[in-house]
Amino acid sequence: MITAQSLDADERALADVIATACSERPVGAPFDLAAWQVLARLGVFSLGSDGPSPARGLVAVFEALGEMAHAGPLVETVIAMAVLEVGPERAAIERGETFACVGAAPFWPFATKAQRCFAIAGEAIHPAHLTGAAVPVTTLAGDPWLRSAADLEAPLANGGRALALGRVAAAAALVGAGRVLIERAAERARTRQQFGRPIGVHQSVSHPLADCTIRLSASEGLLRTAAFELDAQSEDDGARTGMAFASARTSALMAAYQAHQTFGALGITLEGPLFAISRRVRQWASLPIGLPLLEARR
Amino acid sequence: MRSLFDAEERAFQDEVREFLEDWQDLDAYLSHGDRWERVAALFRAIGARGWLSMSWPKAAGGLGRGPTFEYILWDEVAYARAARNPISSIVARTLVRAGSDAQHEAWLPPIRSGEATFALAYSEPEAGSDLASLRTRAERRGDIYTVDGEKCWQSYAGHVDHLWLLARTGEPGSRGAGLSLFIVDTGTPGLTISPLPTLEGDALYECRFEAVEVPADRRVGPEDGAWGLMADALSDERHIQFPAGRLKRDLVEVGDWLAASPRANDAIVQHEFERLQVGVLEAEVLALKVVELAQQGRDAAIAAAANKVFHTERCQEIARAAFEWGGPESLVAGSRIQLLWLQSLWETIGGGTSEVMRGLVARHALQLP
Ligand SMILES: Cc1cc2nc3c(=O)[nH]c(=O)nc-3n(C[C@H](O)[C@H](O)[C@H](O)COP(=O)(O)OP(=O)(O)OC[C@H]3O[C@@H](n4cnc5c(N)ncnc54)[C@H](O)[C@@H]3O)c2cc1C
Repeated sequence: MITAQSLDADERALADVIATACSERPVGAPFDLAAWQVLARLGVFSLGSDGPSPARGLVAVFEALGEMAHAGPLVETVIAMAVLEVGPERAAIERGETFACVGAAPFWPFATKAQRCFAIAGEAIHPAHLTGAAVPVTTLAGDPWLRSAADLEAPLANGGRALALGRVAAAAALVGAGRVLIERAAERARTRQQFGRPIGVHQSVSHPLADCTIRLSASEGLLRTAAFELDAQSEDDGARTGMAFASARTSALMAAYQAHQTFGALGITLEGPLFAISRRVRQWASLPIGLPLLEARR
Repeated sequence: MRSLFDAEERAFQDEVREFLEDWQDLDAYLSHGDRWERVAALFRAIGARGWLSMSWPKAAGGLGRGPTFEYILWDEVAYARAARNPISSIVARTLVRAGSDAQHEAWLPPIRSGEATFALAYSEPEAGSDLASLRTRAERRGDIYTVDGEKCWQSYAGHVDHLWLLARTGEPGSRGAGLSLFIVDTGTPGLTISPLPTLEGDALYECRFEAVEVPADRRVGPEDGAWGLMADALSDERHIQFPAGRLKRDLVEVGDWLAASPRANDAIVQHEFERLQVGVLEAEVLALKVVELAQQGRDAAIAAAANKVFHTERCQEIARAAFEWGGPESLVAGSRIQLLWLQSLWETIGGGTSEVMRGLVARHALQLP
């Protein structure tokens, strides 16, 4: 059997490099250009188009980025890199010097910093031009977006693959973040004493955390095998990665709820141990890249 | 559910609705933020109508009205998103049961009028669900108690004039048998109150006591006798906690908002919305069951625990669905749906966690060990 559910040594090494490079950065820290360029120098933005197994590479790296609840238009950049033609503009994005905006009307993430805009509309990606008055908004996780109308050009031929890679990246980030939430909650359940015992002795505390771990393992397996298939076929009808994304968002959101519940009042503080991660989870889970699953093929 | 109320109760409901027309969308039920002045004014306006003391005995200056009227009031206030019932209500119920004549004279009039404002200073960093383990000490010398310790997660403490303090007067380890209740002015020297910002944009507070001197006549009820008093006051109060009005309003908002969205005709969304509607009706009958038991003078502790779990979990369910249906619009900071979602996260924790409430139901309704 192909052991696609585990990361191989190279993939683990890739994840370790990212984790080490970002180790000084607090989990869930707000966007900052220097940190973004660290990722660029490590080749994060060329992963989706590099080497024999780009999707697997994305999985390894984005699980690690998810564990850090890393800020920035990460998934969007994966998608943009997959549709941009080779040239100086793409190279500048790859180096983290400039950005591409990938959104869905009427919201355009990081658009003020971007030179190029792409719109996700259903299963297609279109070059987009923002029109009319643009209103800046801030998101739940603190990202700068513009609200604006846009004109769309004809869809791009490689949009399907770009979205498949985006779903893999997003699912990996969600799985990574979900794991950290559950690790933090489990640590709390082991150490927080009430009634003279750790709160984790209560099955009402421990079992839901176990359920989250079980769910997250399923999401992780689905994600890693979907990435394996995507690499093997180098084309994807979208269904498998769509399901991986759907699974990861459900599991990560459930992990976020359960972690908050486990921490009690401490968990609902603004600067507490969870919110910087859980709000990023909520935001990744809302990326406009989901598939209408009922239509997905078996 | 209107039909369950009799004519007098329905007339009162109409009166409350009319009164609340001036207090709509204060949003203080969800989060106080910077709205405290308006909330305080609302409590005074409610007080001016005699409604803060509606259920007190006439001898204590109340209207002697039954629990249903109180439920109707706070249910409508919740529906209007105007405020939660004030902490002073639990203080008053304790005073009525256990306060001295002098305390009645000093405290009941300003509570009745809504002038006196309180925060509940119970929880501590190491004493959350296990409240009886709390360590904040009140040491008596002559006519003065000296209080030392640390409380946390106090709602409203940065705004109010008084704390309703639960402190240890008995031996360390005396658990529920060594606790006493005090009224402490928030301006007392040695008491520091600092905000603990919360994720929905409001704050809870931390209260540090360093040699805070509290006159002995501020102790309410017998020394070391707080535990029983708290249980009694709570049982006088259960029927107004977690009224269904909050959920009904959530659902109306989500429904209005959904009607305008492109997903309104999606069969899956419609089915889910129907499920939420049924959930709100179920929550309402559970809330009214607590009122019914209170009206009959029966113990409502377990019914109230059941209501708390069910109500708060429906609340989260509605917020979760709304967030999903809202798509990226829900992500915009300050959006209505986002506030509902964030705020709902703490409903299953404050006022006793879902796990602890389920434990009560399992032990007492099902006699499980
Ligand atoms: C919004 C909000 C407002 C609040 N307002 C006030 C206030 O005004 N005044 C005040 O004094 N306090 C207030 N609190 C504090 C509140 O009373 C505590 O948060 C609550 O008692 C839980 O304690 P904890 O947060 O320490 O969690 P913990 O007790 O540490 O619980 C952590 C987890 O362990 C579980 N757990 C603990 N014991 C058991 C058990 N025996 N069986 C099963 N599971 C268990 C809990 O269910 C929870 O999931 C407020 C809290 C919130 C969130």
